[in-house]
Amino acid sequence: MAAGPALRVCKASSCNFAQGPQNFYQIMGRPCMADYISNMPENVISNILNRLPLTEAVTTSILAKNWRFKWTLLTDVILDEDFFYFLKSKFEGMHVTRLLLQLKGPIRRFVFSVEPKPLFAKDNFNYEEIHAWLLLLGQQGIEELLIHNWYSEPVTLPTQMYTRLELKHLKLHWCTLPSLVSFEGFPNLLTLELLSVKFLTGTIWDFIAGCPSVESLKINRTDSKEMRLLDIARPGNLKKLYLSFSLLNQVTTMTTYNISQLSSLPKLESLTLDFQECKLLEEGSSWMNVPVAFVSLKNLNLSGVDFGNNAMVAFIIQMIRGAPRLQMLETRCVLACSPLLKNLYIKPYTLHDDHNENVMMNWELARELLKLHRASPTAVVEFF
Amino acid sequence: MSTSSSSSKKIVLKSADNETFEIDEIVALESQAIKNMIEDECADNVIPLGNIDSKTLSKIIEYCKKHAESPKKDDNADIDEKAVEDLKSFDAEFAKVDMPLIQDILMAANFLNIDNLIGLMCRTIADRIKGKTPEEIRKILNINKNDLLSPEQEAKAREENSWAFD
Repeated sequence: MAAGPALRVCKASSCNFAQGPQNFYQIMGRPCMADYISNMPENVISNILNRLPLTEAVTTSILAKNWRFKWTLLTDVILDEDFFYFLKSKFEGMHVTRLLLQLKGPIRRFVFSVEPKPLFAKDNFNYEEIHAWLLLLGQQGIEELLIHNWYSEPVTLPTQMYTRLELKHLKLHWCTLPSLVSFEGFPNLLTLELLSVKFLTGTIWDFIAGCPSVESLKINRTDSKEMRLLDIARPGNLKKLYLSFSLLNQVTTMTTYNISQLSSLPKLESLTLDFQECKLLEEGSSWMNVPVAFVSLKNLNLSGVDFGNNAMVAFIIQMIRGAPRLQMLETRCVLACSPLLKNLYIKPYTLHDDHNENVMMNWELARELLKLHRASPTAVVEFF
Repeated sequence: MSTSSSSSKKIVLKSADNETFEIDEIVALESQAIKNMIEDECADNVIPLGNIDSKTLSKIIEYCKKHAESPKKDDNADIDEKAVEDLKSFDAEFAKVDMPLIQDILMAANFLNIDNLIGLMCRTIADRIKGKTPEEIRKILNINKNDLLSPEQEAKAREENSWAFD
């Protein structure tokens, strides 16, 4: 984790830095009266405070005179399970608003997340207050924003959030995003998680297109009318993808050809596909004519698989064949939901010249398969 | 631009009490500040660190050595995990020092801009005061009795953020 505005020896000053003969205790002082920390540079003090639970950081205000306002150097505001557990019914949205108003510098991380919804937080505050907090986060500096809204209405986020170009991690649950007219993209975004997120205008796919650096993407229950997998496949740095083929309030129809569009991701290491609310149709059977489709894939997690569907079976086999570096295969629902299953054959498509490596890989796959729960007591998993 | 291609190149660091430490350049590069100096080609053979004593400096070098040696992110996930575990236990041992030394290491690490070490020291301090009463924290941090708030001041501080106090 970055230490905030750490001492930066820039090119111009770096030559002088070693010559400085002064002892920094003479500059910053370790006079006999001071404690170990309070005279340290502000970035160090916020680094320490950020590592304490929020309430404990705030209560440092009574330690001593020179600790009175040290806590306002906090740059991380983490409202998580611990926070709510501590506050219980004392929690009011106003507390967070006041806290944010007192903080000195720009906020780097803002996390409002607790699941499930705490019983005591029923009517304590208006969910619109979350909107107000986001306006208080300051214009610059925020790198991580996580909102897990538990109210029945989605939180509408302010348009100002689109100006936070430093954002690296964005996770939203049950939110409405402002019109994409003002959205110019998040060039630095690495993690993007949009669960049950609506858009006032524009679609989730336009949003993803504005985040070209994303390495980890998780999408579930979008309000879009269609699954535009080609747009998901655009950020070439994508390493981790979780995709649930469910649109808000409707069942999706997906074709194997659509899914093959994901295979253009060269760095994809981990892929989770959830077919729970998706009908899979076979189309364009030639999609796996390309011998290796998922070149970097190590973990493949398939859930909600309907084993009675031929297209699905063919698809899974194609997937496995197309991933030469696969190390971990999780298909819990295949075996758990298929009481009539008799045989499951898996033949990894291998490109390794090294025979030992192939054997090792197969062994790992077999071991994982043995751990799975099976609905069919007679199912035979054959592996060759 | 000279960068870290060869590990045989040596750098000499000189502490405030004039002790010298010869280390591999790759170890010195753990410090962003020294790295900048080397890249700007304004580092002489000997880098004087007029504000870091030899006890602190040798601790810092021990840390940088270990971290420079340990394999960086690699394609092979198995090696990664083992190296990460190894480094974790090294860090845990490294941090078992008293508060004055932690303070010195932290000040020096911040000056030399060694991000991981700053983080380790800050985490160590936070862990030591986590869950403690104000009285215990004052003891750990060596807060002087004369610096305490008056009862009226303390009452005001509690009132300002009453939700955070029991």
